[in-house]
This record gives sequence, C-alpha cells and structure tokens, in this order.
Amino acid sequence: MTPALRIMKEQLINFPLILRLALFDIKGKYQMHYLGILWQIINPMIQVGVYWFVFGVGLRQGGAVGDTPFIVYLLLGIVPWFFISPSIVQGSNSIYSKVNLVSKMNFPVSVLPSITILGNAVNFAFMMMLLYIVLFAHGIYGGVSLIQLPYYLLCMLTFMYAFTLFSSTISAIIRDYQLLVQSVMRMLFFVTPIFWSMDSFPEKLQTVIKLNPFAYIVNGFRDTFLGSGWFYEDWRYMLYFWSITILVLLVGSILHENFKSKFVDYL
Amino acid sequence: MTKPVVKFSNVTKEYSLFKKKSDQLLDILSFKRNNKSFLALQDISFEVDRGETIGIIGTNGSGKSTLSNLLAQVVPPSSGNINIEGETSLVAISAGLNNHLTGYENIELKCLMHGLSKSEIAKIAPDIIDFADIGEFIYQPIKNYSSGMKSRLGFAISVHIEPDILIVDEALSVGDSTFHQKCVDKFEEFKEQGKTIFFISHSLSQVKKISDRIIWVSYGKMKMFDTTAKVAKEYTAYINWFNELTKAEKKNHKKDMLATQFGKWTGYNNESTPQKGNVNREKPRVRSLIPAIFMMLLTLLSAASMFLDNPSQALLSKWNSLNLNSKEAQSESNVEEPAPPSGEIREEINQEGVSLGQLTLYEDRELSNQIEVISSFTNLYVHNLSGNSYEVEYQGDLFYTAKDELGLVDAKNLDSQLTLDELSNSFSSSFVQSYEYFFAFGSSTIDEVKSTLRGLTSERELPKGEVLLEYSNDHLAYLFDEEGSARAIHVYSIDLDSPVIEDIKTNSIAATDDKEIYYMKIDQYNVIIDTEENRMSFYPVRNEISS
Repeated sequence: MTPALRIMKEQLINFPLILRLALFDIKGKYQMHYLGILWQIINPMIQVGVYWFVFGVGLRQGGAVGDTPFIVYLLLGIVPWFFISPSIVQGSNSIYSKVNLVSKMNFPVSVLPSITILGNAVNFAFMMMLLYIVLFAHGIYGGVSLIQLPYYLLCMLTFMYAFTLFSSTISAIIRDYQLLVQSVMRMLFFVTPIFWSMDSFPEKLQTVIKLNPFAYIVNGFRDTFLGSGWFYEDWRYMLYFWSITILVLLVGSILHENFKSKFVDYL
Repeated sequence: MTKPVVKFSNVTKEYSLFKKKSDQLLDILSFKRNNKSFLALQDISFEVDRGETIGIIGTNGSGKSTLSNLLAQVVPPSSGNINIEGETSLVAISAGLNNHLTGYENIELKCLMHGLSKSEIAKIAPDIIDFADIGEFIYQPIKNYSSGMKSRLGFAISVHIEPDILIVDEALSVGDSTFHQKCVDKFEEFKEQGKTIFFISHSLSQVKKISDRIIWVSYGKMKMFDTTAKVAKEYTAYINWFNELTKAEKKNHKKDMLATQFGKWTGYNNESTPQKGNVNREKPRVRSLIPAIFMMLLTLLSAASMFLDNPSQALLSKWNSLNLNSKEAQSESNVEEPAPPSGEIREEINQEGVSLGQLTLYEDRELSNQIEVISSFTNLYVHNLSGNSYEVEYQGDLFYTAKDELGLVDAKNLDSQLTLDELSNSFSSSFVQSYEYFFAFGSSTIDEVKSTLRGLTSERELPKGEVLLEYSNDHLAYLFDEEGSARAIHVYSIDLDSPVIEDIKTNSIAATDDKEIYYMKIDQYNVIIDTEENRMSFYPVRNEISS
C-alpha cells in the first residue's frame, strides 16, 4: 500500500502546482486559435450533434430510452465520456510528452497525469453546465439523487488517475502501449453504454458489459441525474469497481516508483 | 575544509544499446542483461566546494552534457553516488520552454516547475525580463523568438530562480558579446554570493575566462581536474597534438578511445560498494506486491459474484433446500408409518373458494377421473379438505379438486385499494420503467404481440390449448387462450421484499391454504401473486370471465 499512499500524498501536497500547470496547459493549447477556449465547448457540441443525429434520429428514429428522451440519455453518457476518454489518452502520454519539460529529477513526475486530468476537467465543467441546461429544458431536475454526484465524480477521478498513472508509466517505456490505449478507448466508446441502453441485453451479457469500469461511471451518472438508483444498491458492483480501481492504482504506483528515475533514459 | 557542495564518487553513466526495440523490452523485464552498452561516463569522482566556478571542457562526445545532466539531476547515475547540497539549475539552449506560450508565461511556468510561489514569481519576473532584454517580445509566443532570444530567456530564468548551483551548458555560444559580458558579470555576482557554477563548453577561451578549476573529460573519463592554468595548458597541448595527426591517425585514435567506452561496466560488481537503490529495492518490492495481489483476488471475487444472481441468497437457499430435504425425508418416514387413508382425515372448511387458474374438477377424492375444467376466477363453495384435495360445490354438484389451485376467500377483503402503479413497486428495476408499455398488449392477439415485441425467448403450448410467449429478458410472459387472444400477463422476478407485497397479502381476496398464492382484484385486473415462483400475473377483467 505504501507506494500508492505516497503517490496520493504527492498529489495532495502538490495540488496548487497541479492546478497552475493545468491552467498553463489549457492556455498553451488554445493560444493559437482565434476562438481560444470556446473550442472547449464547440468541439464536443459538434460531436454530440453528430451522435445524436446518427444514433438518435437515424438509428432509433428519435425513440426514447425508457421514458428518458434520447438526447438526454445520450448526453448523460457522452458528457462523462468526453472527459474520461481524452484524459485517459492524453494522461497515458503525459509522462512521455512532458518529462523533458520537467527537467529535474526531484519534480514529482506522478503529478503529470493529474495535470492532464485537471486540464480536461475544465472542459468537463463547461459540458456539465450545458448538460444541466438541456436537462432543465426537458424538465428533468434530478432531485435528491443529485447528492450522489460527488460520489461518482470521486469514482471517476480516482479511476482515471489510477489508470493514467499506470499507463503513463508503461507508455513512457513501451511506446506501442500508447497506440494500444488509443485503440482500446475508441473501442470502449462503443462497448460502454453511452448511446445505447444495457436493458435490452440478456442478464449475463449485461454483467459482462458491467465489468468495464467506465460502464459503472456512466451508469452512475445516469442514476444521479435521472434518479434511477442509488450507488449503494448494487453493492457488489460497487465493490468490484473499487477493488479494480485500487488494484490498478497499486500496480501503477509500484511500477511508477520503480521506473521514476529512469524515465529520462527511455526517451 | 568545509563540506563539499558537490561530491561525485565513482559515478558511471551507462546507456544500454539495443539492436532491436524488443531487446529493450527484454532488458526492462530483466530477462536479458548482456546487452552492449555505452559508457558515457566512467568512474568519475571529484569534489567541489562552495563558491567555486568549475569549467568542464572536452571534445565533442566526450560526455560533457551527460555530466551536466547528472549535475542538474536530470538523469540518474547508473552506479556510484552523487551528493549535491542545494538547488541546482541547468541552463541549456531552450531547455524546458513551451513554444506555444508567451515569454512571460514561460517565465511563470518554469519558475513554477522549480517550486516558486506566485508572489515570488511576480517579484523576480521584471528582473528576468530586464536581464533577457527581449523587449516587447516577452508577450509573444516563444516560437516567434530568435535562437538568441530563446537562450537569453532560458538563461535569464535559470539565473534568477536563485539556485545554489548553476550549471551552464554551452548556453552562451548563441549570445552576442554584450550579452556574454552581462552573463560574466552575473557569474561574478553569483560567486560573491558564494554560489557554485559549473560552466560547460568546448571553447577553452570561454572556460578559461571564468573558471577557477577545470575538469577535462575525454571519452567518458575524467582526464584531469586541476587549476585553470594547468588544465588549459594540457588541453591546448592535447588539441595541438591531435590536430597535427594525419587523417587516418585521427580516425584510429578516436576509434581506440571509443572502444574503451563500449562494453559492460563491471568495475564494482565484485566490490562491496553498494549500488544504491538496487540492494534495498528487492524487499519492499515483494512486500508492496502483497496488497496488489490481495486486491486482484478481491477484484476477481467481486466480478465473479456479479455473475451470481444473489450470492448470499443463493447460498441461503441452497442451505435451506438441504435442510428441507432432510426434513422432508424425516417427515416422509414419519408419514409412512401411520399412512392415513386420504379419505379419513377431513378438515371442515365451509368457505367460499375461487379458482386461481383453470381449475380441473374431479369425480373422486383421488383426483383420477377428470370431469370438467372451469375457467379462472370462478367462485365455488369449499366444504372440506382431506389430504391434498378439496371437496367443492360447483353449480349444485359436488366435485373434488387439487388443493394448490384453489384460493380460499377471505370475505372481509373484497374491496382492494391497491392500484397497478403501487403493485409495480415490486417489479424488477429494469421492468418497472417499461411495464406500462408491455401492459398495453394486455388485450392484443398473439399475432399482434409477436410482430411488435422483440426478444421472444420461447413459445410454449400449455395443456389446455393455451400458448405462453416468454420474454424472459424483460421478465415477462404473455398467456393466450386457445383463440389466440391475451388472457394474462405474467411478470417474473418480483421483489418479494418490497413493502407492497405485505399489502397484497393483507388485502388479498383469497389465498391458497399454504399461503403461497394470493389472489386480489385491482382496477381492470385480477391479480395472482405466486410467491413461490416470484411471479405476478395480471388477468385483464373481461366480461366473459367476470362471472
């Protein structure tokens, strides 16, 4: 447990640093664009539009999922996904792409994935506001179950950090891994219940789909905003999610601590 | 003599060379360790005191930059120890600058990386801008800078973050003489503050000007470390000697020297000098793996448990059935002895009864001669019970019928206040959202249902000409009569722990003797709740059966 605890402590101690470096990241990314940070909203909106059109209007003929309008259902899945997916892909590359910027061994390299995640979180915050406007327009207010939002945000951030810590370490050493992560994330977009509903599958297959930790997060988001369930109801799923998260975190921290000093050599 | 600020002891930096990329992977996994390696630095030991300015000189490829990276702690040594007291700062050409950010933002960024706070940054930023002397360009992205501007900015930042040890790696070669002079002045200032400077260059004249002592590295080895004058003399002699060689001789000399740098560094493997990190790493590695293994098991277990419908209940029911079996076995053995003839023990009931499904009426108490089948929810009068059969009165005649298909009417509960909506609370969570849709088919024909609903899992003919269409993914089945019109909707996977079930039990019109099946009427439906099968069946009230 100690490597994992040490690394989590590093994140807490260096939080101001993470915050400010994340801001620099965003600034640097949009410096060259006329619309600047607006692209953080425009980009996902275009994508949501396309998915809504193709899957909602085209394939489902505008049919609702249960009693949830499709656009609401889609947004509730795709908004967290638009946070998760780029964070995982960029986060996995974060050590490789930034370690020469760090240029100092005593810099806590383990905060690099956090910086990427936090950088993407700004975009996520914008999208959440947008999401809430759409929900309001459809008369969905969430109600009491909204109080689980912090829980699911915690799930999301912890898993994302655990995973990016693990994979940024691997991909700094084995470059092929980064391509693998990209492909897998592209595939997971379709395998995670984002624009389709799990209910139409046989129970056993549903369980297989649920083994994907992202499904836990996405389903949790739906439960939160649609009020369709509480996180403690399916305690076995909750146990599974947290044990896989902690497992990834533990393995990631052990690997990270072992290779920390050698990253520069592998570049 | 005071403690040295920088102390290198037997420092070696080795770079593994791989023929194929896959060899590197094997090396990481420590399956294969006999790769060719290049010793960029071999066995370097020196000590430097506070306030000294050390020049590092050498020809191209001699290991100067590796040495500067080691000093700046950018790369770790392969073996040996480096002790550095205080903060180091490396000035190299455009090191750690982000091309997309403006000069000012880069100042902030780099200072942040060195752990300065915002207020500290705000304090030194004007000094940096002033020193770098790039005017209005400070608010332009770095990528628009000339190489001189970039290195000036890099230098300015590095010297202003107040390092204890400054390492300057060829950074001055791009600046013009005025800037160079400024830097030399800055170095003097540093020296006066008692700070240590490493100045790395291949230009002897630059090094000579500012250094107190010079390290001469040649092909990975420290050839000399002495006062400026002495090293300068030797170095000049070496360069002159080398330049006088013929082309072939030069080539040979280089080849010979490089050959000494290839191969595995074995100098310390046999000695007791600890290779820092390697020795005490093994133990914690094993120990830190234990929680990981534990979590892996937990993950697998919890994943497996998700595939069971309800592990605790599954276990319990298994246990119960085991117990029951043994009890039944006991009771069977008990029963055998007295073996009461089914006709003798008779329990008077004298109560209204109702058929809970299609009810078969028999002529005899042993239920062997079938006489007629009456439809669901037909009222009869129950006289008495003996064994497994009721004696009932139907349309004036006496018949016998099976115990478990007949409900006894609890007269006080004829008016139920429950609604379908309330009953739906006991439906499985996936069904509760969509039940209204499925109930809309309650009066459809079999063909309509088949053509509209997807996910039919089985179609069964029941003995009395009825057909059952099962949609088990939706926990649902439709029952059709022989004419093909819907008679009932069976909803499976009812949550028996739901509070509404208790209401049903107390509000039911009739229940079987063993309290397994309940019957109640709600608006538009006759409802049968089978607690044994977790099933709730809804019979739409039709004129022909509401007799």
